[in-house]
Amino acid sequence: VSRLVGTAAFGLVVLALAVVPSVTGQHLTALIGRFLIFALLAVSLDLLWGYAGQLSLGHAAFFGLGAYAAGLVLVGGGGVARSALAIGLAVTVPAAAALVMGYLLFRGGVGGVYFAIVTLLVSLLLEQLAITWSGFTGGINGLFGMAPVDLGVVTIGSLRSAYYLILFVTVGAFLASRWLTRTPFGRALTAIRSHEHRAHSLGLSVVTLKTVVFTVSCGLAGLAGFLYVPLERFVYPTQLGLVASTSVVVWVVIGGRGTLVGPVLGAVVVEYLASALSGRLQGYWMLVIGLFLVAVVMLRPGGLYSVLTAGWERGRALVGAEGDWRRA
Amino acid sequence: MGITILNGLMLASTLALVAIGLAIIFGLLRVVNLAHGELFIIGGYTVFAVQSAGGSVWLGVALAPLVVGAIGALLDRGLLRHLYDRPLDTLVATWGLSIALREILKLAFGADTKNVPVPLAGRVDLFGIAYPSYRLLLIGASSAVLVGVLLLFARTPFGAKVKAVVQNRDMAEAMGIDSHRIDALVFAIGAALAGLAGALMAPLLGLRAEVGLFFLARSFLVVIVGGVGSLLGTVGGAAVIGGGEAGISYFTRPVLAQSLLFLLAIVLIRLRPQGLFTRGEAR
Repeated sequence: VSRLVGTAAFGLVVLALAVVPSVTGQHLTALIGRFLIFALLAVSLDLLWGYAGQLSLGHAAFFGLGAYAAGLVLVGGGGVARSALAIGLAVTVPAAAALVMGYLLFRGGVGGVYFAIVTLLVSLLLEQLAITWSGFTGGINGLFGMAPVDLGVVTIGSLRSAYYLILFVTVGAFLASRWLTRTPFGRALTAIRSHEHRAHSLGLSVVTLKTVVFTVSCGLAGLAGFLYVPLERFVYPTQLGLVASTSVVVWVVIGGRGTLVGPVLGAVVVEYLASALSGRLQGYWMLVIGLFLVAVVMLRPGGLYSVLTAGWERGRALVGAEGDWRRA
Repeated sequence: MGITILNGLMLASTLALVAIGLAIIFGLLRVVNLAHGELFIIGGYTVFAVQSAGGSVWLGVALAPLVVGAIGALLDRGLLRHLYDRPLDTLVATWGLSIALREILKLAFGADTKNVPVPLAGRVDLFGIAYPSYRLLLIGASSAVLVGVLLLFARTPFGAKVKAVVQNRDMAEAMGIDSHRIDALVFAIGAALAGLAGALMAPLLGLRAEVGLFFLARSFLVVIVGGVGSLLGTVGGAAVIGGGEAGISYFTRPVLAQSLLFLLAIVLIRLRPQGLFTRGEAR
């Protein structure tokens, strides 16, 4: 029954998202489009952290690499071939970077906290490099004036078409990720998270699995970065940086690690609150985020998802008790 | 060239001072303190606060380790000890603390850059190079403190107790050592060293809340390159990273120098996972 409820709820949400551009204005459509991109980015980190137990503190670096790769291709002009190249590079550049890094680090036995720190440094350095290397990246001003993405059948020229592209890709990537977590590969990842040495002694090639999931995760992050280009028509250095990377960690923690749905909720809730409150809270917003991060980790490590499922179970227990009473 | 060597020596010795605090907390308590950069910069802001209240820079430098050490002990007792058995969660919690401390600093001191005057003007003639006296003092003071710290952990009863707690907490407790007190002290010492480093460096830095992050990043490179669990290794790592940065910066821009060093560090991790200066098993 709960599976049926889940599928129905998912269908309803997708349906509701599909009618957004028709019933709301430009501003809200762009906002929800951005939330969807963030949700995809959160899902990509959840695969790596929530399932395989490898925390990337610099995930925005891979998101930004995807955005810059696509942006740099499309700045030179549009067309089907260039658009295909933009999508391809947006996924493969961050994925290849992750493959090389993952091989070097995981083979060297660097996991856990070390991995988190190294990824943090990647994000910190890439932002500085993007600012410094201005001839290539546009420096602090970033990249703009990208040609619209041309998919052959449609050209993503309007906000409306960009929104549908984002919705299509995000929903597809979410379903693919969910499928992935239920395959033997996904279960092997969970085994690594819960006990790495045991997983190794059971014959799982831990190094390869970790490298693969890091590569997949960063490819997805790059895909999210690509989606940012048709929506915002703008790529800038802070997208690669630590503040952005921190946001991803915040979404996943607050949503609930290892649940996929939780991080999606986390991204939407946190970013909605940010857009609604940060104007009023000004400098206090990041302070609140920082303290909230500490509080969730200490008091409710399961995040929003665990709060919701606990509430759902309690509600079902009540209804179930009533059902028993009727049958009796 | 000579001035590059002296600058490298200065960068290495101060970096060792920041990193050794991190290494102590990491190596002994197994806590990755991502708020270490903020503890460092709070040291700097302490000097600024004392100096703008009419006190001397030296008074600020003396107070900074006490202030930051106390903050460290409070954080450990109040928050982090509840997370000792969840390393990745400690990481996230200290990251949250790092963000929060950064924002508190911005609210307290403003987001603009604050400057602290150099308390020791003048230059010293050294092998034909006129080198600023304060920088020379930094090299001397950092080296002296480092030697003191190494001796504290290697040669004193306190150091022996710390080792006992690290090796076997329950057994140490059974021998009458208050392991929680040791934890708090170790954390306080690590934090105090960060504060001292920040205070000493303050006259050379433009004080901004974000500066701490760059020192956190460098310190981690130092600890990883030097090898975890060896304080002497940390000093060696600082020599490599600090000297390397000064050397490469001689030829190119600092950002590129840092990126190059970072790439080198990653390759180095692959080749020598246990660090350059320690023997023993890979982590």
